[in-house]
Formats: sequence, C-alpha cells, structure tokens
Amino acid sequence: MSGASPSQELLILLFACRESRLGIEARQVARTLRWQEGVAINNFSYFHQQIDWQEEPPPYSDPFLLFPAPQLQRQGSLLVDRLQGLLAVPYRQLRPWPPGLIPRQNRNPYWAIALPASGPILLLDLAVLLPPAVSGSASD
Amino acid sequence: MNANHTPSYPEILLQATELRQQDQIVNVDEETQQLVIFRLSDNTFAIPGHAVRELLPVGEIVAVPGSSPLFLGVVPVRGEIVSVLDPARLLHLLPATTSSARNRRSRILIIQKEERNTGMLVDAVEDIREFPKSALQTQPATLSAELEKLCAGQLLFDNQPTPLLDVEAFFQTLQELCT
Repeated sequence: MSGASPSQELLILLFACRESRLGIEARQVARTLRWQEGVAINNFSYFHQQIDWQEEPPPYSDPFLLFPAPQLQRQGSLLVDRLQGLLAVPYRQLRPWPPGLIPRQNRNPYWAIALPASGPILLLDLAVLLPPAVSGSASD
Repeated sequence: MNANHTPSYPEILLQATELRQQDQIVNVDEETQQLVIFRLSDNTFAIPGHAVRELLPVGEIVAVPGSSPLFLGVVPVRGEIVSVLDPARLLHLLPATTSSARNRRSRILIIQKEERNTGMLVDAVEDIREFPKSALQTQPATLSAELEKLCAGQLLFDNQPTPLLDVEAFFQTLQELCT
C-alpha cells in the first residue's frame, strides 16, 4: 500500500514576504480578503510587525487580510502579501524548525518548514501571530 | 644564475612544483591536523577539517523574516533543513547592517556540532590541507580581542596570518548572542 491518506496532509495557505514563501495551515484561517487601498479596516496587524523585523518594512504589493478561525480565539486580522493559493503538503515533507534562527527572547511564530518539490515553505502559527481574543469577543 | 635570466616556462613550472612540494613537506613524526582554509571579507581563516561535514555550492538561501541577523536563512540539504550563518557578521568583519554578498566562488561549509548541522557562508574555500600542529601559534599578538575569543590560534597560509576558528567557542558565542 502506498501514498498518504488525506488526513496525512496539511493544507497550507501560501503567501510571500519579499522572496520567501510562507504558509499558514488553512484550518487556522476563517476567510481572506484582498485589501484595496482606501478601504478602512479596523484591528489588523502587518505581518512584519508581528515578527522581529529589523529592516525597512517589506513591500505589500498585493495585500490580503487573513482572519483567524474562531477556534484559535484570536482577535483582529493579519495583513500579508501576495496570497498564492492553497497547497496540500504530505506530512513526510514537513521538517522541524531548526534551532537558533529566532532569538530566544522572542516568541517563535514558525513551527516547521515544508519541503515540497517547488521549494521550501516557512510555516507559521497564526495563533502566535495574533493577540488573544478578549473574552466574549471572537475575531471580527 | 644570471640575475637577468628570464626563466623559461618549463623552469617556472619546475619551480612551481618545488614550491608546492615545500608547502607539503611535513615531518612524518610530527602530529598534523587537517584544516579547511577559507576566505571571508578579504581575510583568510582556517577551521578544523573534522568539524566540516561537507562543502556545498551556494544555491538559493531562503531568507527567514524575523530571524536573527546572524543568519542568512535556511537551505535544504538532501531533504533536511540547515540554517545558514553569516560568519562575517559574527566575526565583526562587516558593518552591523550588511550581510555577506554571494559570488560564484562562495561556498556553504556544513559544520556538524552535537548532531546538529549549521551552514556557514564563506567567500571561497582556498585549500584543504594537513598542517603540522607546531605551525599553530596559540597566542598570536596580532589577533583582535574579539577574534581572540573565537580562535584557537593562528598559522601562516601563503604567508598570510590565518586565524584558526575554535568551533566550540564560535558556537558558544553564537548561542549566547541568540538567547
């Protein structure tokens, strides 16, 4: 018998930050919304502000808002760049996050790296990137 | 030999062979160690050969947003993920906001330490060679205080003072800076 069953795959929502490909498990995302200039959105965070970004802010050439799934109990939304669709990644293509890359005093938003044939994808945990929901006020 | 004598090409080649042999003459009774000699920002460094698991050409290094500036990113190496360090930053050879550039001679040295592999981007690998242990000056006067902490000594390679990295001290410092 060969091949992974569907439950042995992770469905990943892909986006970009400069040249890097990043992903968030699709189950963590309730919905996405392309952000158009001039449209006011309350309570969102830029992706680069939620990590220890120390350079010039990255460009957001095609920004999208990611709203967390209710079970995460997180508030607000995350603004990311260049949503690239969904990719099913078999578990066997997942690798643990290498130690040392993220300074230990910071919360590490990454939990793994996927290694599909198309190249590495840095996997993020949306629950670490967004603040906890205030009791009784689920996201958006 | 006449001082004005212009050596023929065969003479030059003979002289080159002799020079290489001189470089390689090692007293068989003397203990040697294999060293990998590499360049970093116009400086030459050495690292013990036993610490280097492999040398890789530089492909795409995937930058990790939010990572420590001492790291350039990650690369897949035969199905495993290896983080790639910018040693020029750790050795204070570059300004704090500058990362090492890559060129066709750049290589990634995969260093194995306690079952963990870490890549080090270097500008070029110059040589892999046996050196007599006596060639190592353990207390050189020319190393800066910062380099002295990270080096086990210094030797001459092509008449250039070449610090020998102390792998233990190097990774200890890295760990301290990343905590």
